[in-house]
Amino acid sequence: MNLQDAELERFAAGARSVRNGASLLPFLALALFLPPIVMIFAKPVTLFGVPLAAAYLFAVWAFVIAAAFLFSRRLGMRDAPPPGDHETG
Amino acid sequence: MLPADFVILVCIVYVAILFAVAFAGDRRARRDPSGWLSSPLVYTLSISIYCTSWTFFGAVGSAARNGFEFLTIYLGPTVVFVGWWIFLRKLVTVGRIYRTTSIADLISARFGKDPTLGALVTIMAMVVTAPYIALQLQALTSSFQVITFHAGAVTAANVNLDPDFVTAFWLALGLCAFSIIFGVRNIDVNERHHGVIAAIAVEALVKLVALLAVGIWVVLAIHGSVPAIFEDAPARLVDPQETFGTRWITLCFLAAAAVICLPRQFQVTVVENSSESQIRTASWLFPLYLFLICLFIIPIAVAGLSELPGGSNPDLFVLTLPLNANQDALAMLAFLGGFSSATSMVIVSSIALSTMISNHLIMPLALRLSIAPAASPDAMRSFILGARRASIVFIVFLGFLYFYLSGASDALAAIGLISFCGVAQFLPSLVGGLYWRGATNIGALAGLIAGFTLWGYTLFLPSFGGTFLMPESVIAEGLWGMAWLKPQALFGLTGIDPLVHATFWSLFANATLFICVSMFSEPTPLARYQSRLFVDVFRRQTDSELSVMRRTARIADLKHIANRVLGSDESAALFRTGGASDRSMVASDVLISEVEQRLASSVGAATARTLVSSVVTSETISVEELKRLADETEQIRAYSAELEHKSRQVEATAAKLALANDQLREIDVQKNEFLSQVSHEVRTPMSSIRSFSDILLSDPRLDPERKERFLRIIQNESIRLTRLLDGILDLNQLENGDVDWKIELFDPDAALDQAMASCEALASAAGVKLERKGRARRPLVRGNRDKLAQVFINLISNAIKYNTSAEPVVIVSSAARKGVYEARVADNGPGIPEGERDRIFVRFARGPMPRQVGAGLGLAISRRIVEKHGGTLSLLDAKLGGAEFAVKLELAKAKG
Repeated sequence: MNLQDAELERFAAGARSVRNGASLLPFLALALFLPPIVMIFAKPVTLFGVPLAAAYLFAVWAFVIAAAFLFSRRLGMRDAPPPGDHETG
Repeated sequence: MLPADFVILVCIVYVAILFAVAFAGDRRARRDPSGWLSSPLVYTLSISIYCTSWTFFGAVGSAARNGFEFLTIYLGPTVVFVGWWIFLRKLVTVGRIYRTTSIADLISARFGKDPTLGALVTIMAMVVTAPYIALQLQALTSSFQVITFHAGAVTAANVNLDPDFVTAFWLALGLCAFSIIFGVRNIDVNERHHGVIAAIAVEALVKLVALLAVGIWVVLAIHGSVPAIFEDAPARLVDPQETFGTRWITLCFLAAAAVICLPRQFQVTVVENSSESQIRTASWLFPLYLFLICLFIIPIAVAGLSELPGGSNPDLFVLTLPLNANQDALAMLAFLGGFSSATSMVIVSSIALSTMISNHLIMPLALRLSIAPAASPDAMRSFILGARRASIVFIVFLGFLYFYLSGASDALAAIGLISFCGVAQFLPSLVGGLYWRGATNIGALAGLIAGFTLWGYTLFLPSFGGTFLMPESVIAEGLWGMAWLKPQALFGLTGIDPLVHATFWSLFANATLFICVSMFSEPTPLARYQSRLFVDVFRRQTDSELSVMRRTARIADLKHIANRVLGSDESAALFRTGGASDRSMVASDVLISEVEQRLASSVGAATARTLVSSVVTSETISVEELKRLADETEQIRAYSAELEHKSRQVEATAAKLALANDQLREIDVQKNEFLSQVSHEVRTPMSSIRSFSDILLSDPRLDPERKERFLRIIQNESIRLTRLLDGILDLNQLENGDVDWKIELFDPDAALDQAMASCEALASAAGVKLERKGRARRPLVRGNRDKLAQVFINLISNAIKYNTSAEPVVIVSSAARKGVYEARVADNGPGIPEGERDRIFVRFARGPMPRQVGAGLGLAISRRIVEKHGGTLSLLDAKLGGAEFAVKLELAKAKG
């Protein structure tokens, strides 16, 4: 395998992992937003004066948005992956 | 309070600005369709009509009443959008490629352009949306009343104000005007409304800014610091243990479904979409918008609860808090925010629904009843436009009527979630239609009807509290007094939140019927074709796809229809590019499909099909072809898996081949060795035969005695040669397996005795003492007696020949033990060194002894013979110091 092939291979592998990540993100978000995980934080405790549940929900939310932002940029950079070549549906 | 005139003036100025934005947007879009109006930012802002006044005012109310629960309404859509790669991308691509005009159009087109399905979805959407519009009108009027109430906002929020129907009426009228002017200007090819979208985007910004402004003011001016917010927060905010139950999950799910299925959301997300980059950006920007909207909801709710007198309506905290602190400018901004969120929702909803009503209710009816004018090319167009305008007025005033009839009752407050649950009924058909090729129109119809009926029975009708259609007695005791039919406790399932209960039963029945009926019904050929297009939308289309549907139509007829709907200019352009330039009379399949698609983008797939079918003279859809294509797709899908499997197989085969190759090489080396040895062996006797015959021929005067000696040598060498060749032949036969021996039962000891007798002479000549020891008792083996005797002779003669001991002894013994007969031949010769033990059984290998007699094939042949008998010939460590060979044979069961 020459250098160019290796480059291409790495590129393709990267694109694949970005797509896999983008497909997994909603399920991760769902797991974090729904019981039972969210129950862990439903305690009468405050964090810097903010109820733990509120801090948790907004923090996860912000994290999910940031992840979606990164994924969308990566998916955009590899402009128009060949349609259908990695259909997740 | 703010003076009513002032508020009205501000509103009018604001609306004027919106008109200007919409107008400029429309003009700009016409000049440059791919300009900033198609930018992902504008697209995302337009999606934020998800946040209606129900969000703007209601979220704070919900937070004040139910704690964190309001968040679910925004977490659900967040999950859907960040997961755009899985579902939204496909939905949006299908909508864009097939120029879908509404959710009813998409569902009906997917299931074979079924007009019934389109009409059903339209009616469901109407029933669900009208109350939602009423809710917006209520929010608009009550916020107007509060901000202009003469005795001050706080009092206004505390007294039960009579709904102001006059304001509501004028508002409804204004909204109709805006929607008609910018929403139904023309029958746009892609049903995109750039002007409206531009105005909606501005409104989205206004409501975000307003809510953030109020939020920041509340945090800074009222609370002072972040920890201060929660000091006097209600318990449900500080200890939200109760919040995260089934209701939390249900609400998340409903909100996720609604952000896809609400007609207005479908309009802005799918219909108005023009590229994938839009949805890609919206995947994080829209969740971010929702995040920002929600950020200050809790502080505002807490402030409202602690600052305002008890009993104040929490739904209006956003407005009453600034008014209470005499922050009139802020209050005005908040009012405009609420105004924006309500108006944008009504405008987009009415446009989306008017398209649905005209495409799926009015047009099919008009075509069936022949009401649609056919006279002039423009008559049909204006008929469609008229139908849409009328539909807008109809839907907005249906909302108004609903508001008027329900009045100030609390029925409206809950309508947001009720309509979420209503539109969620579209979800099974929508998702199933996009991912499951086996879904049929009958299945979708059954699911939708069941889901909608159950939704109406368990949630919608009971929400009126007995004032509409469903009397109170039914709610309390069940239909006809049957307890198991209680709308909020079906089958006696009590103790569940009514919303969770209704969502479960309606969607359960919906999805179950959809799946089961689909499995037991056969799709129409067209539905099969459409399912293929929709499910495999990301696969490149092949030419063979077009060959599936064959239709015949005259170009003139087609042109007539296109003229009627699209107008003469556009249809002329369509036929020019559509390849009708050749003066053929009959339109090609491609042209017919093209015309149908263009029509579909204006009047919906089902109506377009009806129109085109009216001029198509023959239509065939080759089901065989479809099945073949479907198989092809399956094949492609299976192909990669198969490839993987194959490559593994190939690897295994390659390994086997490499092994076989090594073996072949080894055999090749052996063969070469064998050949050189054979030639060497043949050569020695041959050369002596030749030299002696030469002498005999060249010297005739030789004395007879010498002559005879030479001839004897020649004879001996010939015999040796023959023996050698016989041996090679024997071995060859044995190795190739084609032996043709007589098989019999015999006593192997007899063969052993015979062999000893044969070797007696050899032994006495060599001075070797041959001894017989041990004897098996009447053993019997199955095989060929002569061949076995040959083996024994070979072993014994070897033992005699290679014995160089001073007092050579060869001992032959036999025994039968555990069903095995064993004969041993041992000598006290030099033995065979460790390294040579395997080699001696190989052809032409001989003991390390100087060459004597024999061709070196003996042991190889013997071993083969024994193996053919199913036994083994092996070399043991001799007790006598020399070599000891053992022949082991399986005993046959003696007869009797």
